[in-house]
Amino acid sequence: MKKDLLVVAFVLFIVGWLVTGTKIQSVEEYYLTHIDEITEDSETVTLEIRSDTVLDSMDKLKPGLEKYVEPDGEILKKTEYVLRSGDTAFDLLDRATRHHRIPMEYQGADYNIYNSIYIQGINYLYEFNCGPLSGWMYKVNGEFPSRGVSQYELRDGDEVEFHYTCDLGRDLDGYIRQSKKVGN
Amino acid sequence: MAILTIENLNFRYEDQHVLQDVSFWIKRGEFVTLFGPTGSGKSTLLKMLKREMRPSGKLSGTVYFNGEKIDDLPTSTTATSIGYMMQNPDEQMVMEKVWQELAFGLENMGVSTEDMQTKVAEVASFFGIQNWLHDSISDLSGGQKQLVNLAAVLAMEPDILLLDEPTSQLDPIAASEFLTHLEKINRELGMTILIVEHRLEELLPMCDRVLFMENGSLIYDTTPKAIGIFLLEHPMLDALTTAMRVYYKLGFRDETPITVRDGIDFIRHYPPTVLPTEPMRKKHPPLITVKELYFRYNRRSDDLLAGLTFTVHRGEIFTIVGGNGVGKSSLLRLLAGLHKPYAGKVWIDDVATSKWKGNIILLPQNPQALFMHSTLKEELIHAVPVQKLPKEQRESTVISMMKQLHIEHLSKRNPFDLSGGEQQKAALAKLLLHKPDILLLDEPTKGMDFMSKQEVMQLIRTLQKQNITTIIVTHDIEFAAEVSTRVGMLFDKSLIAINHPKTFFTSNRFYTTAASKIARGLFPYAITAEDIVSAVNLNNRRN
Amino acid sequence: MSAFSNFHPILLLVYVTVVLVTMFSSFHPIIVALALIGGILYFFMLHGMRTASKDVVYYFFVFLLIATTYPSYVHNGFTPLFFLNDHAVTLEAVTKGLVLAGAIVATCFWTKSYFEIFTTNKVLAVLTRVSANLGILVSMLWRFIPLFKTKWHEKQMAQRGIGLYKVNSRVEKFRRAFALWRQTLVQTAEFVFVKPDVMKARGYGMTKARTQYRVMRFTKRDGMLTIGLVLFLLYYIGYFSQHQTQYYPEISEQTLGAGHYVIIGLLMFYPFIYEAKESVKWRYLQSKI
Repeated sequence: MKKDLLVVAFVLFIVGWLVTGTKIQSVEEYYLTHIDEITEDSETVTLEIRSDTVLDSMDKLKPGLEKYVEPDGEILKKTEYVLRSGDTAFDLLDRATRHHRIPMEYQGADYNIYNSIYIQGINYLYEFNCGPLSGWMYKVNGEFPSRGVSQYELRDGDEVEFHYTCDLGRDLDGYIRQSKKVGN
Repeated sequence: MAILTIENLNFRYEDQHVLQDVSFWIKRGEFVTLFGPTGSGKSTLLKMLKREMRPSGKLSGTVYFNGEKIDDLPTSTTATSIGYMMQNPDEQMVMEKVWQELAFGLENMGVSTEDMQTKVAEVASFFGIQNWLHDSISDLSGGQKQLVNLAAVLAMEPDILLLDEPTSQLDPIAASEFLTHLEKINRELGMTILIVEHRLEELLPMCDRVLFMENGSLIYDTTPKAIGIFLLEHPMLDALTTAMRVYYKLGFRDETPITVRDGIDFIRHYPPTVLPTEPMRKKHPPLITVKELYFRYNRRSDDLLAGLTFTVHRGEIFTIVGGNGVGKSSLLRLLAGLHKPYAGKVWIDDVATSKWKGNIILLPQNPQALFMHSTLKEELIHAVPVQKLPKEQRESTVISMMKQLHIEHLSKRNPFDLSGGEQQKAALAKLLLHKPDILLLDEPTKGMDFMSKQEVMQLIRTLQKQNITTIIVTHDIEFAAEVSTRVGMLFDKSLIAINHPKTFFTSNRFYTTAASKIARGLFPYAITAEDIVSAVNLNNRRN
Repeated sequence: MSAFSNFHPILLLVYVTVVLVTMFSSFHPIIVALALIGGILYFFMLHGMRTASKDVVYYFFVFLLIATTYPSYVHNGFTPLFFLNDHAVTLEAVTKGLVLAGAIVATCFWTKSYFEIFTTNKVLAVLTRVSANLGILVSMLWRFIPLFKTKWHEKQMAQRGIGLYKVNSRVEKFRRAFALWRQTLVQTAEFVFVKPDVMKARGYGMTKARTQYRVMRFTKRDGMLTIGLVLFLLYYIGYFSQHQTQYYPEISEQTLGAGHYVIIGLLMFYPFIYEAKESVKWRYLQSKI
């Protein structure tokens, strides 16, 4: 009986592995992303990743993380990227973080009720790392969209910003009550 | 002075009158046996006398213990002065080790450590437990467990001992040993004993008084010598000892013999006769062939069975007898394919057990292991073969099966609450629904009263007529003598002396039925009370 | 019979608490490893090579399962080793997976050993004074698992004997096994819950001044050891609440000196050492005869 349970667990593990796919890449392969060069007629968007709020709430930060917090709050300075057709805010983030080798972890759309990818952590800074109300949010052109990152399709000239919040967004500029966390 | 007086005790559970107007009393030092057909309310009556064990229901009447109303006594008195033992040894035990079990009651009483050690030492030595004092309870045999239970109860020095079918889960050898211990504490310590039992062959010679119950009423309150007269027209007459049955059936009414020795004295007056042996029945072709079978539980243990060879024919009732732990149950499991031999093979119709198309069904030693539902009816309706039937047939199939085994009145009861014998019948009903071709029964008569045994015997014979082969493993030699077509004895890893039961039991001197012991040298081949009666009658006719 | 189990039950309880709390509060790879090895060694002492090695093999697979599952779901960490389906499998997550698996398996072994040595009479000895009913309750729960095991085994055998598993469909087989499992659980519970009546019928709970056959006196030595253990625990809890090993994003630097590992190691191995010492002593006495 005990043995059977163990076998079942192993089988579930292997099945889960096979279903989710078994694409294994080395570190080099993974970070090898092609960033299109900007030409005159290419459509472009900008991306910026910041964690300023942490600097004001260092007391709440999980111990041991201090040295991974950027002193100026800037994880990725505002950079221009070529917009590929059909790009969502997530695609842009994924491409840019890979290019700059910034570690980023997300939860796939299948795993949550919002049907969208959910950003768990960027540059070692994870949700709940700075108090129970902390996590990642994003803005497009200064406003918090009400759609998830992988559902927001970008248009030419959009300015995308990812911000870490320690207080459900209330500590961010341009926060309005209705807005939610990234991906929600 | 009466230690226990019961006045007009009535007990109702839901709409059922379990006890009706029961009154009796017990003197200090008496050994009293309470018996009656299954379901007569014996166990309930006993529970009424132990306050902590009373089931819920409506109770009226009074129980006096040492002249005081039992309900007015403090807990400390009722818990310690009235010793109570249950049917199932496991239910009574609460600890892991033997010594802990023995000390448990004394610890509860707050006896000082020094006194307690003396008491435990005394009681352990009295029952010969001292050598396995540190064993785990789970490693003990059923007989050992009941002995520990008895010792644990006695260590608390009760005034009276109430026992509810204490031997129903034991094999006959352990059971007689247990009863011998009871006799010893009654004779040597003057312990008052009230026991509910089916096993009267050994009990009647040792007890002072007999109470007979039927349908919730106490009908007879008399001595062992006199009880037979009251039961002449009652089927329970056959529950009495062999000597008594022979005596009454031959028409005598005065001083009945009770023990085997009395029986021999009584029967000696008759001239010897040889009973005609039945003509050998034509044998069917062999069905099960076991050849040079070797089995052990694991690599390091000794062989449990070695070089075992025998055949069973289709439609036979083959009985295997033998002592404890000789591998009888393991042999049945081997036949059922639940164990694998490490050498040798079991052939059924010339194929291996696993490939054989027919249905082999095994009744395990503990029938409770088969039960999975909360009422008997559900238990049977949910049996796999019944579930395969169309819906409208299920109910009728189950009901006819219950009728066949006379358990239809139990259909709403929880199988776990049934008495030992009723559980056996319930388990048998479940097995038969599987329509077996080969039926393997491990101790089918454990805990059964005489009437239930007769029913089971009838049932097995009916199955035989349908060409169903039955292999029985049992300690119950009286049962084996009556039911089987052939008997074999499992001894020293192998089956020996396979023979017709009449030959088998006549040639045995010790390991044989009470009737055969009585008839020895006088009526060869008489192995049951009925055989003796017919031998005597045959004689009378000849003269 | 284990010599270690002869310590006073309160001391035994304090000991296992200290072992497990130290392990979990530190979550330090070396300390977890010490607790795991200490637990396994004592388990060997209790059960002997043969029986114990079976369990060790079984738990090795449990360990493997946890250790591989964890890093395939947690991707935090500074040092990616490779990427699985676009998620990083990091050195930190792999390490934490190993430590987590080690801690769980260590807990299993300690609990198993304790089920063996912490018998019902010890439970009652500790709890009756507090509350008789609590004593009953805990001793019932305590008996549940071993009883369930025996019943399950017996039921399996009985049901196979009437061909419960003689079906071709694996799903059906599993369904039936599950139904049987559930029934066994219910029946064990029922069986266990009759015990209070039985215990009362045998006089349990009628006086609070329950005595003991085998006196478990809380000796000076027990007291000293308990105080020592509690101080030990307080010190290390204080230390580890500040210095619990962090795994993300980088495994935190270990500031604990080698001496500490020796002390903690001695604690974790104590039952094994004590047991080994007793058996060596015995052999020595034997050889002198």
